[in-house]
Amino acid sequence: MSIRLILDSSALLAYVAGDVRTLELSELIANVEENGDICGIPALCVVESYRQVDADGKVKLLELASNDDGRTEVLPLLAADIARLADLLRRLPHDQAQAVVASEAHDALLGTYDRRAYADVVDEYEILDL
Amino acid sequence: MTRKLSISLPDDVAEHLDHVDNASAYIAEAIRLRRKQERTREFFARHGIQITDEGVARAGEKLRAAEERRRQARAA
Repeated sequence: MSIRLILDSSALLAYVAGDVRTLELSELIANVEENGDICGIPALCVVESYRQVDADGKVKLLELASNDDGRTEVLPLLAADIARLADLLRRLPHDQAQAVVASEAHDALLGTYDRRAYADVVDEYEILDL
Repeated sequence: MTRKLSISLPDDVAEHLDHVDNASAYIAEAIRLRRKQERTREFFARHGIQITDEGVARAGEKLRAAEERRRQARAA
């Protein structure tokens, strides 16, 4: 199994929003899993999303992030990531910077509802518009 | 622990297994994958999210199209 898709904070916020985006993201996560792969969730994206949502959203978010079945995996910030992350912080907030670092490290598409945020640092074809 | 079972399979499935090195392991892996998929659907259903096979397939097509665009862009 490999990390096939990175979900950033905008994706996580959409997942807990309870609208049509929730269904679309769930189906995407299911598809990735059914193909034997995993959606990666950068730890700083989880933290940023958790900070922004209400109590119900916090529960949904943590259940998505902490599942044992391997449909998602929280990606830690590693020592090897620090230099690249620090470089990206000049143009992105911490959570989005880790999403880029994770995308590069796993050679995975970056799934986001906020393509414009990454326009200066990521090639457009590295993004999956959610 | 393992159990020996006698099962009946459709001809096309049985024929496929004829070409597999370890049919038992193959079937076990297929069933585990199926159970994992079921648990994923149960997980989302617990949160009131009713995913469909069509929606899952549609999401996969979108992902594969994006991956193909990336492959072509990198190759160019």
